[in-house]
Amino acid sequence: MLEDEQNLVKKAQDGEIQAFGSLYDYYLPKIYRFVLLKVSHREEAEDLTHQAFLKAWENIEQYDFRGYSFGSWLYRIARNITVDYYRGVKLEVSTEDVNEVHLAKDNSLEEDTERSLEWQGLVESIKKLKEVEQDVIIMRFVEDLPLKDIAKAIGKSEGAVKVIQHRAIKNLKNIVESKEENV
Amino acid sequence: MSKDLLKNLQTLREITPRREYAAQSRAAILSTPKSFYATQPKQFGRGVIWESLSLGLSTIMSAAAVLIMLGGATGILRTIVFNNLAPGVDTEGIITEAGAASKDIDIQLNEVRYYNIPDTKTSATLEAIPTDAPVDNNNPKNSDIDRALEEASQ
Repeated sequence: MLEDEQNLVKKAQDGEIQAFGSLYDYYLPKIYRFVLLKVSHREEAEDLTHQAFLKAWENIEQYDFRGYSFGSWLYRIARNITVDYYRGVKLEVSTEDVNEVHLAKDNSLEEDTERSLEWQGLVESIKKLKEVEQDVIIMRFVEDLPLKDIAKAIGKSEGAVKVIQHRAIKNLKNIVESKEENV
Repeated sequence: MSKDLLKNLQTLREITPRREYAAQSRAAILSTPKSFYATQPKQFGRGVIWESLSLGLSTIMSAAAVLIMLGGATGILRTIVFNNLAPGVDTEGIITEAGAASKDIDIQLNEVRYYNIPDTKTSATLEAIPTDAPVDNNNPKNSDIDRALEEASQ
């Protein structure tokens, strides 16, 4: 969690642009990664991430701390936006789409073919999980979010998140293993 | 295997957005004016009270309007009815009967008031009346009881 986050949120709620700018700088990579791993296309991930932050800025008054980080609120917005994206634009992501994924690390790692292939394989496996399992895997194991924030972001109890997490990691392991056997 | 998997998942953290995109998106968002409702100051206690008062006031105003309309309609109807009664109908007689009915209602209300003596007072009064006095067979009414109840009801 960002240091002095609640103070920044308060200032942003009072209309201080720079305060929201600081929140944006801290959370952009996280939200972008989350969206990119969900939609697998850089340009679309950029558009959707932009939409998520714009929505957050326009509705920041609605965020109420109550023990949950601002990040969990942002993830929730991003999650809803990706769900809407899949409803409206793409019903299913094919393997071909995933293979074309641009998992760029600020462009510089595009040259690192080996790493890029590893990521593609991993993302392809993640995409085979259920929607909610994908969310939990990304938030928990990529972003290292606390359980209570994940619970808030996906609208479930902490107990339910634990169960989903257990199931998701087990399923992901099976998918990766069966993939390795087929190679 | 699980450890490798978790480690591999953590490497995905190295993915970052393009710098140009981040700068453009940031500038675009921060130059967007917030919506009307978002820029309104937060209204907690006072806002809620004001909303409640507005609702209450509008309800009262509506009720008053309905009563005024009904009152007006009654007056109009009464004029129409009395003015259009058949020639043989005794209007004065109807008014007298209505007055008598009203008196009956007043009498009934007085009786209700009489019987509406608080139970405790009645009990105390009845307790105080001596019950060993001889009963007059020709006039079984106990005048002491009547008088005591009359006093208690005042």
